[in-house]
Amino acid sequence: MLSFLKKYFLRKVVTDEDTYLIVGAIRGPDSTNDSLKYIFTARIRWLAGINGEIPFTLRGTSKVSLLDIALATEKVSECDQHYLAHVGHALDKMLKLGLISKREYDFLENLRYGLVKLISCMEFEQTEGMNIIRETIEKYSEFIE
Amino acid sequence: MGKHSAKEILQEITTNGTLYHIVSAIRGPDSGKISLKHIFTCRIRWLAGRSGYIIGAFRSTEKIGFHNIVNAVVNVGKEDYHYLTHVADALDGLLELNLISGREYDFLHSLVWALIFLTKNDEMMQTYALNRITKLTKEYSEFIVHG
Repeated sequence: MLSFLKKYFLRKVVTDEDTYLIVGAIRGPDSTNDSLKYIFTARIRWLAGINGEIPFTLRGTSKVSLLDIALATEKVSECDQHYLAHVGHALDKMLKLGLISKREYDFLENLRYGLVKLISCMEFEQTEGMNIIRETIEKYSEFIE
Repeated sequence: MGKHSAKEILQEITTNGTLYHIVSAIRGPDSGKISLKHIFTCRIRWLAGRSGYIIGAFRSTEKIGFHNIVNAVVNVGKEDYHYLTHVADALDGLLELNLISGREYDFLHSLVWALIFLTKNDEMMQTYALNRITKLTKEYSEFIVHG
């Protein structure tokens, strides 16, 4: 790609709200929660159009393993809150742009919301978070390997 | 140049290594450290867009407050390692596209690597990093505002 085109696209990204909010979740979490990265960022990258030419973690299938959900749940912590907020914005914009099906959006958004609840220091919120995650796994079983 | 949809822009950005590296630093650090975000992410956003229409906080001046550097040094931790490595890659991308001057690149790139060393649990690396940052504040004094 020509240099001036690269600059043009870059400027578009930081001045267009839709793309700006999606690329905010292109980088994985700064924590070491690799399962979070696989569940959300790897899928967002794939749905945004990243192909195999860029050697980063991608998820080309809509399915995630129970093990990844369990590990993400176990390791999620306060430092993931910022990342998960950006994932929420990215998913909303991807739905708006038709880059993700409504069903998969609902699955990932519910999972994300449950994980955010788990970060809370309030016990009742953590319990609610676990219940949301459990219900999400049952209701959207087609996305679980 | 025609008008491109958000989808098309996204496709171009995410299939080009240089652009991908730059946009991966568009989000600030998950640790929420304001000084790191102000020094690096806000500046990267500006250099990428150079427009008052940039979404989110940006830094249009190449100068940073000395207190920002002090805060960054005091507060940086291992939780910032991932973010800082992405910043280093983004700076390389900006230089490749001539979106940052060589002098500002040298300053920010040296600073980010010194901060990366500070995140390591290694006394020798941390001492080296602190000495490096002290030298940087003198060597690149035109980018620093005191007071």
